[in-house]
Amino acid sequence: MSADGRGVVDVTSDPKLSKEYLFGTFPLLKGERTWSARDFTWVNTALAIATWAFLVGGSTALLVGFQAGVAAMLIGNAIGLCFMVLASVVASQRWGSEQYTLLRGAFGVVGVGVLVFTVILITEMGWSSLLAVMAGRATSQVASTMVGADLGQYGPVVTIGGLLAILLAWWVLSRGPVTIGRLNSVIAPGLAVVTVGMMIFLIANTSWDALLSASPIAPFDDSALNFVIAVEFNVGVGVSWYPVMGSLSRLTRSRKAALWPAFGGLLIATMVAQMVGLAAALTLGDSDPTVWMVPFGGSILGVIVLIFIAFANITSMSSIVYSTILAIRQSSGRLLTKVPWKVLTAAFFVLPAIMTFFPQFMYEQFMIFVALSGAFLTAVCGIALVDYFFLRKQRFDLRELHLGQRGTLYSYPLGINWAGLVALAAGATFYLWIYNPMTLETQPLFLVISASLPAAVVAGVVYLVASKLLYGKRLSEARQ
Amino acid sequence: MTPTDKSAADSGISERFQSQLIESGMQPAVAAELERRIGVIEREEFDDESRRPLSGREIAVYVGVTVLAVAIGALVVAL
Repeated sequence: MSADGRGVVDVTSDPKLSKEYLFGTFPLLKGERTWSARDFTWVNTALAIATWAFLVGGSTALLVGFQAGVAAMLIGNAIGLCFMVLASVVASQRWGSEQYTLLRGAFGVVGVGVLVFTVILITEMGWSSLLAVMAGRATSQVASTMVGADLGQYGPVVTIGGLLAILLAWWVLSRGPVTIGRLNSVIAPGLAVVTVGMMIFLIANTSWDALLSASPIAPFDDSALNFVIAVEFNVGVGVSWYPVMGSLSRLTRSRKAALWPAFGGLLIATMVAQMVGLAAALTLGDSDPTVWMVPFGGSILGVIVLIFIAFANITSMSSIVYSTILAIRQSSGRLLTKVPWKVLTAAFFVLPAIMTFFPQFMYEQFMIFVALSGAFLTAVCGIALVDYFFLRKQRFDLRELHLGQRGTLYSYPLGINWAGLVALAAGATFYLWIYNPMTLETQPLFLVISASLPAAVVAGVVYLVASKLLYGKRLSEARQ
Repeated sequence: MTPTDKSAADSGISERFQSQLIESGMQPAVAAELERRIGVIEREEFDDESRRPLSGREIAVYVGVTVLAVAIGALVVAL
């Protein structure tokens, strides 16, 4: 084992170090941070242009027409991505560490575990279930075309296809991040071409006039409320990238290679894919290309596109689950460090596999799922942002972060920083008070300030005040 | 503190850090590699461009672009 001029050691020569390098929390060195702005843009495009974006576009069409829908997507995604990127990408890029290690100051070692095993795990299992069901629907549509019979959008073939997609995603995951990266580099450009092609196909088969004049599918009476809910929904989508972005951005070469591709790459790619979903829902009555691609595109083109979409879902699933399992491993202390990677990833997929038996439920509850996960993730982003920029002035002590409870700077009674957890509860409660996605009750203020951004501010302010009160002296010492 | 004193102090911090990690159940090779990496980041890469914090100007430009995107969105819905 020897170091080159950039301090890089060939850790792959030692099995223990190789395993820790691929699946652990080693902070990355300059020579290992190889992604340029272009590389990271492709990675983000691969994630953002996944088929969930079609569903987001279609859900937006429930409330607003095309023009207002595009505006809501732009405003919502820009706001959500803005503070999500500041909360995760910036620190992970600088320190070469994933965000869950860096969150130890804000929540404590046990507190991060609580966060990961609740908010993050449930959110990522939800997204994985949805991707599996979408892959299943694509499979069902392809099978229907082959046998010349309608096998249904929620029938048993969807479940079989979903389970098959999970099995393939697990196989890809078990091969490690290199395989995931290789697959993404093929799938992402292909899916970008397919998505643009679908947009052209949609406009060619309808018309701009029809698109611009199409009414929203199921709006409320109040048009302002429709628009703000559509914006809020898209803020939730922007924030939903939080669980994976830190693990990815630590691989980038510079601030510029991390910040702008994360914001711009996700924003543009998401917008393009969501616009396809929005346009399809408004003109063809369904946002999901697995439903309209074969009837409108013909069996050969339709089947080719659907097979591609099914594979795209598998690579997206692998990418988000990889980051989540890393987080689970780090947050479990010694509990899960000895559990083999393949077993951990298989355990993660148990719930998504069960959910493939209820495909209709996943589709019908999609908006509620995004809003609820957004309620908690916006609060986490608010806290992480205040912790990094205001309390720690962009500085961490890496040794202390890795020592956790055995150190002094980031050690808290029972491993929990109550300032962080109380702020999380305050932010999420504020969100659900101003906008309850389950009952759709809103406060009058919601029409002016929406929910996510103020919830992030509430969480950040509560965290700042509570931290100063509880640990003011320690924070001043840490900054010296 | 002379360079020799600083080096000795660094060495003490390094050893204490590794022994604490090993006591917590980490394998010695992994603890040594973690310490080596942190050492490289602290000493050799400290002044590297990639390790610099985000400047006030960079944050202002970034937030400004977001505000511009929101303004364009508002304009689209207003027209």
